[in-house]
Amino acid sequence: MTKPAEDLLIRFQKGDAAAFAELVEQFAPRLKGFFLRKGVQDSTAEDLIQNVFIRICNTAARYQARGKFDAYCFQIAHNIFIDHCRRNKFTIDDDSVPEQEDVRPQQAEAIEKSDSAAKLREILQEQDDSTRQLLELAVLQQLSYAEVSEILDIPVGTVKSRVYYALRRMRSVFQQYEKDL
Amino acid sequence: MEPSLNDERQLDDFADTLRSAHQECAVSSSFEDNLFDALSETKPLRRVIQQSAFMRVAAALLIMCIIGVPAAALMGVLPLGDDKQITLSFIPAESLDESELQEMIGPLASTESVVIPPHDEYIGDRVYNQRVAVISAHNYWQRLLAPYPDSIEFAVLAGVDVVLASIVVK
Repeated sequence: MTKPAEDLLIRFQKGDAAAFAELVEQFAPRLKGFFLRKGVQDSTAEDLIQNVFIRICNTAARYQARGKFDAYCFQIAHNIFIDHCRRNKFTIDDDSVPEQEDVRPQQAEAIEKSDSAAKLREILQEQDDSTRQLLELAVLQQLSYAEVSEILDIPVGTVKSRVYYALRRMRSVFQQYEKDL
Repeated sequence: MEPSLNDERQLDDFADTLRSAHQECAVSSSFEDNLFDALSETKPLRRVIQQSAFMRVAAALLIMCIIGVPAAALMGVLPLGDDKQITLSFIPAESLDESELQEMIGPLASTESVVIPPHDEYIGDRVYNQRVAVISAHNYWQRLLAPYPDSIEFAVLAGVDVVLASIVVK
């Protein structure tokens, strides 16, 4: 059973290096998925994750266990991604986001392309950038609407309604796909 | 349109399906080693300041500048204490005669008054003007030396008189 991330960070604040290693183990794969879905290359994604953990390490003393660590971590990841985009004049539009096959190994891709999981990933990639950002945080990373609102700096009500309508839209596309099978 | 409970439940199910389609992506085997190497190389500012005396001085100077400038500006804006306004004034010399001057600065022993000549013919009189200059100079030095002990006053005045006498003789 994994330990709550908040407890791990508090242990790390008290000087327990093993707790930090455990945090890395828990969050690195999630963060990698987060960055890859934003369209960055594999090696760049790992560099960005490294920056996230360096920032967490340097700011750990200031962390107050008020909210979930997930929100804190993805807030940092979001900021680091914005910095990365600014530095590299990298903008995301629907065409620049690579297909999910870039993320997955080539062999697995051939099998998955036909199944519903691949279709779901495709549907998500077809959404506009801001909707993808919302769904990434609210659905895939399971942050609360309030936390998403704070990270993206938009009202909670807007987050809620946009996630709701995006999910409905995507569900109807997916249902149509299943009917066509 | 208010979402129905059933609709919300279906959307939650769809969200779960969507989530399960996006598995986490494993990081490379060297990721953790690279991360911990990078962390050992990266020194947070606080640690750098703690370890280096030079950085501590630089940080202290920076803080002093940051705090000092607005503080100085604030001191300039705020009225501090009740400064007494000093009014400078003067009395034109020509409006005072010798007796008024003596009233202001007190009576001086053994000073001689300069008498304004009653007749115009004295204005061009060289001897008279020299005498007036010597008396004025003597009075000036006497007033100047009044606060000092008599022995100093008399010694200096004697010297002054010798110098003045030599000027008159020339």
